Amino acid sequence: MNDKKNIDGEGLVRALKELTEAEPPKLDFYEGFDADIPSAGEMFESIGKRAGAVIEEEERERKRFGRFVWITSGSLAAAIAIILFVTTVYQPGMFSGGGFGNPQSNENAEIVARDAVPDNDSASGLVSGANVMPAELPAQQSGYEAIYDAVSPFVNGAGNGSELDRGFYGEAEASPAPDIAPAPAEASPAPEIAPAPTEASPAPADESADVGTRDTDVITEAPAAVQAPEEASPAPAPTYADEFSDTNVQTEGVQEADVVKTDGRYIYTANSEGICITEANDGHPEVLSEIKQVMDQGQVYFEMYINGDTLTLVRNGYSNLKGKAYVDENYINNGNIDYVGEGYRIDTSVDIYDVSDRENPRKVKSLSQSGSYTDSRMIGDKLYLLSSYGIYGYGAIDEDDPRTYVPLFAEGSEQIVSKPSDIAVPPEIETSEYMVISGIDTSKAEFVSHKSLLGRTYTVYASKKNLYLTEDKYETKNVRMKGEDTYYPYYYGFTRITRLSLEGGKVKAEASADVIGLVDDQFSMDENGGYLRVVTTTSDDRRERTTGLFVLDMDMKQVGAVKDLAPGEQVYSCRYIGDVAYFVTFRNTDPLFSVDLRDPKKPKVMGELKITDFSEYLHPYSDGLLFGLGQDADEDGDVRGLKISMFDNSDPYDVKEKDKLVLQSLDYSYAAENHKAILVDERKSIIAFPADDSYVIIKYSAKSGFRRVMAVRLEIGDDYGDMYEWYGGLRGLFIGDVFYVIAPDSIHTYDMKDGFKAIDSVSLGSGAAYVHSESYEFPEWAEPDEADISPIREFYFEDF
Amino acid sequence: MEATREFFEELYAAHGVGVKRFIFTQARRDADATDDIFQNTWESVFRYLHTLRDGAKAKSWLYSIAKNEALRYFSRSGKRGLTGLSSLDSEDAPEPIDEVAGDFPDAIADADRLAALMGKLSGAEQQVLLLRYSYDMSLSEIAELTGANHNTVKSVARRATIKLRKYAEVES
Repeated sequence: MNDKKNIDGEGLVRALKELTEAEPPKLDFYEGFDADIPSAGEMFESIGKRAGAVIEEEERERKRFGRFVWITSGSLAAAIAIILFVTTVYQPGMFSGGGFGNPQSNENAEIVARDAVPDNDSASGLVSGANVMPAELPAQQSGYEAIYDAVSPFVNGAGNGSELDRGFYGEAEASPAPDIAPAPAEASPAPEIAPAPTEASPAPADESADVGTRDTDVITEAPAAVQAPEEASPAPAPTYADEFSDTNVQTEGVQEADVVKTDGRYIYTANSEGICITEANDGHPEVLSEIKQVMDQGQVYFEMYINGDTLTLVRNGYSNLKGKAYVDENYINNGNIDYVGEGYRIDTSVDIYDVSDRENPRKVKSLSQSGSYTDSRMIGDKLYLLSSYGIYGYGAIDEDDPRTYVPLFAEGSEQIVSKPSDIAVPPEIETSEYMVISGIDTSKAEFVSHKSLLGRTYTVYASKKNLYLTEDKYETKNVRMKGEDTYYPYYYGFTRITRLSLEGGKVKAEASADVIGLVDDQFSMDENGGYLRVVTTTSDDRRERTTGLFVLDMDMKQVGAVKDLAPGEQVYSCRYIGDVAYFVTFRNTDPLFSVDLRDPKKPKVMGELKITDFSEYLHPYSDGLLFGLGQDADEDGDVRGLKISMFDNSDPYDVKEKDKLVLQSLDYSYAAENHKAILVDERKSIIAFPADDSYVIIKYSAKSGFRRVMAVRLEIGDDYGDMYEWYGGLRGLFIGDVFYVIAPDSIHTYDMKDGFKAIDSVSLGSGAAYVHSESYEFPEWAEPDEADISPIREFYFEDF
Repeated sequence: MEATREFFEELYAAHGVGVKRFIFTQARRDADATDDIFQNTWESVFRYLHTLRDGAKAKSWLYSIAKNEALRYFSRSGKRGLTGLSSLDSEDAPEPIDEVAGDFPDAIADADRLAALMGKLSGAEQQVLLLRYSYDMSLSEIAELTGANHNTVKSVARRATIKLRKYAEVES
């Protein structure tokens, strides 16, 4: 990619640099920038001193508490506060002699050449739900009860935990301190790729024993029923006659929140003014009621769920609005957390509404938890809410009051403080940030359980029974090449995966392990038949990145893997269909891999389709057809525009790109980064998604490929602040034979039985910030002659 | 490099504000995100200081940590660092060119006058220009950071420089 600066622009560059560094700021852009920072000494103290104190104590407490570091005198508060501010891995010799982080501790890491990366077999076990702060004494001194659950049989072959390693949220007292020695790396096996079967022979007789067998049976894949028409719900939900499209979720039966929801009769939307409940009315939508937000600017409501007559809204918390007049009526007994002391706290709240009378939504209760909103899932009527809560700042912590540094919750007017047993802490404390996970029964508007893990979460994947959180981590190990003398630090990325079980609102930390490489997004993971499959791309400073697929059992122990695929490339999309994994990597070319997962111990690459474009989102369309949305690119890897493809995966050993449509004048679709923004529905043969400033609707038939139907182009007024968020809120859905295009400010309806003719429009909220919408049709496109149809058909837009 | 307290403090004293300003540029002018990322950055610096081999590279090493922390922060939270990213203006043809060739009027080379002109650009346009030209981030890096499509970032940069030139010409 060509990033050279034009030489005539040198003057611009110099001037810009001067402006950037100007103090006070000369650029409007830097208005509000606070150049105030703690002094160097203060910063070091807050990070370093606590680490030093911990180190000294660890020497004393090591025998008693194993790997965990603790302070026995003082309160639980002090201990937790110190744990919270430790941000570095303990290294011997740190802080003695003025140096820290001397990397001599890992002498044993003799590693062969390119396999400097520790292998993934060091999966470790986890004690179910245990409190891992060995804070018995301090806890009791504070009047807290330190509860230790029984050691769960899930602890991996570790007996007393002697093999426990990184990635362990577990019980310290069970484990004598192991030495900090890295697991010896094993040479990674050569990638196993099934040879491409020759065209002449359909029979598998020629293939050698150690490659994937190609059964003559067709590999059955789960049908592409990803969009469930109705949410699974124990309470009898009102069912409406028409077929309708629901949120595009990853796992059937696991709902994901969104800014637009429908139950087949009503449409629920969220924008910067609040929530609207609109009756679809067969294409003549009518707003029945609104729930207005109280903040005077910025989005309050993030997203929501509808389940029968219960509308669950996830929003910003109000805790920082203390003292603001307009909040009072909403604030008291409103599920707001009563923080103590100074300092800015973020929290996430849930408003549960009874909407049995759609014209008069009635709030049942509000619940809150500390931290900024990360993600959520709903299974049945149980909401699982995740937020990330960082304890930063200087002077915000009162060591004597845990309320200043543990996650807090509020349910109506009731205040809840995390108990030690609700918190799990890993052996190396690297951050003072919690991932707070709660289970909420929305039918009762109450918390069922909560669990907080000290660590950051990057990706959330949920199956019907488990929640998997991943954390990107980086480590430096000292390695030396075989035959050499010098050690060098080798910096690489890996993923810590933690499994939490979900059952009826109860959240329990079950197991965690580390996998080499980093995941792309939630679609990189899939749980099936008691195994977790995960695709990662390595990220290290010594060699080319490669992609691998790992299979872990429910103890998060690796049972199988296929590694070192697609060197130099990065995973862009992934989808699992039954026992086949499809993923796309890209840098110049775009191989679409298919991997056989029928034997969890021996995942095998079945095929590798090499094309120049790449997909950022994959979706099972129907049996034998896999849809991809992404970018068209040329041989050099330069992108040319948005594209959609239909792959024929009826034979996963030989996936073909059957149809392709390049939308050359369109750059970007938000659907590539948010799968909820795309609608793919075989029932109506329709694919619809936002693209640049339009919402695009395409029809598909296996016989004639993609057919552009319509693009709704939407214009926003200049007054509107954040156009990116606005375009991110575009959605499309159908109810019966009416298609609804939903923008944050309006709903537009089209008749699917009559060439998508416009029917009606309605404004949502005041509509003040928005200008207008217009729709138009694509240019006429004739059916190609039979003679023109080639195996891959590409259609390019002209100007549209 | 020997990782000492003095070295840490030296780096911090020399680059603390600059790093914070860099983070601010990436963080949609969100003061709280800036503070969080700033904290995370120095924690990581503390952790990895012993891996810094060449003192001369300290500044770019620092900034790359700050960039990675911002990236992690935004990819995790789903928030994006680009303000008001918008589509192409209808007048602009979607040409896939890299940079804008041609002369820049003198107005642009003068910092104070440039400041006034920059104020006419949208938040996204200013942000892309600053990251690109002040902080030498490549378009791919900016795309990665903001989650926007590479081409979109390219077109925003292109439109911004075209506008700047237009405004400067109008002025003179």
